[in-house]
Amino acid sequence: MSSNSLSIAHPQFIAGAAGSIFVLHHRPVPSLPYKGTIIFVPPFNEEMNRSRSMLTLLATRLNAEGYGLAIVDLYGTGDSSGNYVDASWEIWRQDIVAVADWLENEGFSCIGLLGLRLGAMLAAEVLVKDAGKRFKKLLFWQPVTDGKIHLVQFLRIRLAANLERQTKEKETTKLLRSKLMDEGSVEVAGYEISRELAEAIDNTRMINYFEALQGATILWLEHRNEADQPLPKALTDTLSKCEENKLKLDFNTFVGPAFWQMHERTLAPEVIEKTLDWLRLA
Amino acid sequence: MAEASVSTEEAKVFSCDGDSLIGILHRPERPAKRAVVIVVGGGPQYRVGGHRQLVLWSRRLCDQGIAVLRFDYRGMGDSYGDFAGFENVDADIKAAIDYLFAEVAEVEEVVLWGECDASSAIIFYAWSDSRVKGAVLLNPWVHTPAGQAKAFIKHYYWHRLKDKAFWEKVISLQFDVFGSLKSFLANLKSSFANKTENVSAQVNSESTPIPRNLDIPSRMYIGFARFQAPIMLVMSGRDFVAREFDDLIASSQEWRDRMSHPEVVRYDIPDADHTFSTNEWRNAVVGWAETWLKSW
Repeated sequence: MSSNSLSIAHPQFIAGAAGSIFVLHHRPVPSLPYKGTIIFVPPFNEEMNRSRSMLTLLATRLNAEGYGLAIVDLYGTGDSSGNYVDASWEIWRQDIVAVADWLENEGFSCIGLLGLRLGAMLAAEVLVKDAGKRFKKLLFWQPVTDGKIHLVQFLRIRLAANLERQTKEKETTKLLRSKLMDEGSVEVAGYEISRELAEAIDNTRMINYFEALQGATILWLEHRNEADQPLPKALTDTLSKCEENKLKLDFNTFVGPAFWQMHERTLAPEVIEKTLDWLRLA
Repeated sequence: MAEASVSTEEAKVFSCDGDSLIGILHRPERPAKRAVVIVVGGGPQYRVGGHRQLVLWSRRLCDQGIAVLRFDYRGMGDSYGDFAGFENVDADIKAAIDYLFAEVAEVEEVVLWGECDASSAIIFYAWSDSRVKGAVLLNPWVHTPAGQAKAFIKHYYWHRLKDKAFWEKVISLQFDVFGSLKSFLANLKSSFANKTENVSAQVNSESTPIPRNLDIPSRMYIGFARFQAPIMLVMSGRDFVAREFDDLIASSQEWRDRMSHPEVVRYDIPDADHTFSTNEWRNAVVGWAETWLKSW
């Protein structure tokens, strides 16, 4: 008997902010007492693809304890409608809200948002702009805290891909940035990213959300290659800002493969266990 | 666009041995009798594909009246069940074809479509299902450690011997190229005689499954030999997976004969990488496919 006998997969296209979007609601079987659904806010591009099997594992574990997990493909990504080049940070924020509305219409309350990598900053964006204050819990898995660094890392994929092609002129991230400004979009590893989306990510910092996140209960799980690997200074600085803002934050680490960047299907069960532990106590 | 398309994309759940599989059905307004089922390949991908190309390809094909089903096999992507890898997905592919036939009344036959190890999964399966009339194979995966070492040396190191950083790279990659090659050469002679006999015996015994104890290239050969049907092959120029398949084709007269059969149509994109990661390459692949799917 497989572990997912307590799960019901409910995939659906719903109306999003700019077109129909794909949502997969992993629902606990009705015989379990329902404890609320968490909406997963996806990471950027290939990181989303690579995380998918981990999310299914997370979903089955959550379902077994009465929680739902809703996985959404943001506009222009995954199975959702639209072209990637037409996606924007604001459309994506509204897409998450649309998922919450749809779930509530279906009779499933939402208790929180789980953001992986860039999704953590988008989740924070959703929460601070949520007038209804319906999301009480915010869960971060290896959150991106500086959009500028994240964007540069993305642009570098293109530089790396072109290294072995002698015919291609040498590019730099600076050159790509000016190309973005001049031409309105640039294609990186098969993703044609628009200037608007790139700028939004470029200007987003986790730290800017802290003041508005004071009402939320936050779990922050940071990836470590080894249990005793020290935290980088940038991170400890950010965490001390959390303290200054008196955030209700539980910080912890997890050890396992960085599944969002692996080239093979990999699982990191520890991050799931620590998430479940936190939900049980919260 | 003259008028709004009324084709639909539908989110689906279907069962494979009791596990729920998730798929997207692209249903054209007037579906042709020939449909496409996409099997997801390689690494951690799921049914949208790297940089979403399986979605974009499916939309293009659907615009041409071709119904497409993309799905995650067990343990991959959004689907439930235990992950068993691309060598064990016969039941999953069959479940997807069954489901497509049940859902779209107009469909009478399917073409299977796959990249990398999904191409291999398709060739292991296609001969056994009479509904499968053709296959689109992109950079098929015929990996063996020896084959990889050979492809690596032939297509990479051979050209790099004069490169200053050559030896540094051998060391930093921590890849035992020469050890692999040596064992490859040592094993080649002894294994080849037995295998050839074994393989040709298997080609014609179509009622029996392809033996599991054979290596991937041998099983692929048997699969290709048993599946006498139109095949569209696309190979990327900058891809070791494709080079390894080319080396395999070049390695014997049987392989060369099979792949030069008139029913095999081959396209090459010399500058493309393994996943066709630009709009230009993506469009080239689907453009050929649109024509090819209607050419027979």
